[in-house]
Amino acid sequence: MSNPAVRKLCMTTIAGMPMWMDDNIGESIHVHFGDLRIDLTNKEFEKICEDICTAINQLVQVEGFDMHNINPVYMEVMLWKNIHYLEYIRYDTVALKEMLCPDVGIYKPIPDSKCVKALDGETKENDVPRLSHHLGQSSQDRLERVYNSILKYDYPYQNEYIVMYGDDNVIQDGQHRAACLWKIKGDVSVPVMRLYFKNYKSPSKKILSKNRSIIPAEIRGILFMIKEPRYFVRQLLKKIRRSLKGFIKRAIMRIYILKHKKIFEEYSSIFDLK
Amino acid sequence: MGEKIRDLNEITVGSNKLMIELNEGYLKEQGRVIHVQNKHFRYLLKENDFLKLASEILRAKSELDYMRNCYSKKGKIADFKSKIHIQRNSGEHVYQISNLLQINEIDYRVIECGAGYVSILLHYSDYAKLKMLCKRNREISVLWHPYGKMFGYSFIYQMNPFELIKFKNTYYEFMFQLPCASLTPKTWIPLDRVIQELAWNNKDLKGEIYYLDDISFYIYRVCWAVFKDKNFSEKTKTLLENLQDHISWEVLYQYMKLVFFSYTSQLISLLQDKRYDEIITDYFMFDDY
Repeated sequence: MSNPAVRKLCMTTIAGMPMWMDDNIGESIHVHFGDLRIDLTNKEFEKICEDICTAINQLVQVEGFDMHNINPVYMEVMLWKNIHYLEYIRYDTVALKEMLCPDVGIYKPIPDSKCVKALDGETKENDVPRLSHHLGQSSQDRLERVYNSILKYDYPYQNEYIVMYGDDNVIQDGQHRAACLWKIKGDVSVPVMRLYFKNYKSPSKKILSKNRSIIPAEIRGILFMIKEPRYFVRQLLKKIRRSLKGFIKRAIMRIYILKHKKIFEEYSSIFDLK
Repeated sequence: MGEKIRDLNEITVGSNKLMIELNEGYLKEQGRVIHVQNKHFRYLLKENDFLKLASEILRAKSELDYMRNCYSKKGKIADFKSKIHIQRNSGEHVYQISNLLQINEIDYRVIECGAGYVSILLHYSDYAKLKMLCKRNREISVLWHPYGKMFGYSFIYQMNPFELIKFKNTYYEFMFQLPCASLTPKTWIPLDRVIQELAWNNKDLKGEIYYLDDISFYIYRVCWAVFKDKNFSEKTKTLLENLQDHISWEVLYQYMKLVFFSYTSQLISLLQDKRYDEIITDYFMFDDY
C-alpha cells in the first residue's frame, strides 16, 4: 500500500518528460522526473531550495538580482521564461495611483482594478481561477491573506517588492499587494523593483520568448488545419467521443435516479448525500 | 564537447553532493546547457529546462508551506457514518445477512452497524460469489454505493469497489479490503496488506456473528476520521474510547506505522491522551520527516 497522505505540490512537463512532486506526510517528499524518483526529507528539500536560489543567482549574474527575494509563484508562472534577457535591476518609488493593472486586453489604474473592487465587495470579476493561485485557493481567500499579511507585516515583506518591467508602471507581479495597500494606506508612494530586459518594448508589446511566432495564434490554427487535415479530424473525433461519453454517463445517472427514486431518497437521508 | 563556463552551486541529495555547472552547448543552436553531476553521475538539461525545473521546485516549496499554514477542514459531504448511531452489537438485520452469507459460503467480518445499515468486510476472492448471490436472490436490490465509481470515486491499487445492496429493509455495504480515503480527491486505496491480513486472521465471535477484531476496527476508524471526515466526531470518539481498554498500544503502533509512518508516535500519544481534536491539524502540519 502507498501512503494515503499524498499531497501533490506541482505537476508539469519538462523536456518532454512528466515532472511532479508529492508530499507524503510522515514519509518523505518525492521528486519525480520521468522514471526517476528522488526522496527527500523536509530539511533536505529546504536546503535544495536554498541551493537552487543560489545557483539561479550565479546563472543570471545581474547586480541586485537575488532569487531569495523573488516570489516563487511569479518565477514559476512568468519570470523563468524571460530571465535570460535580464540586463539590470533598479529600485524605484511609484505612487499607487500611477500604477496600472493588466486586465484582459487593457490596463486599468489601481482604483478601478478587479482586486480593489473585490475588496469593496464586488467579487465577480476577480473570482476566476488563476495559475498564480495556490492549490485549492480561491481568489477571495488569496486577497484576504495578502490583506492580513500587509496589516501584520507591512510592505515590503521579506524583501519581495512589486515588480515592473522597464520604465512602465504596469504591475507584472504584485497586483494584490498594490490593491491592498491602496485600501489600507490610500494614495501613497511605495517602493518597487524594476527589471530591465534586453529588447523589452512598452507594455502593448510583450517580451518575445525564443520560440514565439509573430503570426497570431488564430491564423496559425487555420494554417495548421489546412496543412494537416487528418490530425484535425482526429482531434475533432476525440472531442466528439468525449462529449458523447459524458452525455451517456449523465443520461444513465438520470435514468437510475428516476427508476430508483424512492430508494434513492431513502438512502440519501441515511447516507446524508448532498 | 561544450566548454565549461562556470560552476553555479552545489546541491546535496541524500549523502551525495552534486555540482550544478553551466556549459556551452555541444552545437551552436543548442544554446547553453546545465550539467548536474559528480564524479560518477551526470544529468544534462538545457538552460531553459533547468530554469523551468528549478522554478517548479521552488513553487512546490511555496505550495507546501501554504498547505501547512493554511490547512482548513473542508467538511465536504457529511459522512453518513457520523450521522447514524454506530454500534458494534448484533441486531436482527445483522443475523439475517450473516445467515445468508454463511449459506452461500462467503466468509465475512461485520465492521459496524447502525439504524438501517450494516457495513461488512468480505474477502476480495468472494467478489464473484457475492455478485452471484445478488443475481439469484430476488429479495436483494443492488444499488450504487454513494462512494462508488458511479459517483466519481476511483479505487486504485487493484482495490475492489464498494457494493451496496438493500435486503429486507436494511442497507448492506460490502467492502473487499479495509479502505482508506486518499488525500487525492475521490480516491480510495486499501490499507496495508499486513492490516488486511490482520483483519482476516483475527476475528471476534460475538453470538454467532463474526466481527472485525478490535485493533483492525480501531485503525479503520482512525483512518476514516483522519482521511475521510478530517474530523473526529463525537461518535467516533466514543467508539475509540470504548475500545481503548481492549487494545495493546504496542501492537497498535506496529500497524499504525504502516499508515502514518514517522507521525505514529505522536498520533498514539494524542490518542492515549484523548486529544482527538488536535490530531487533524497536528498531522497535516507535521514536518519532522
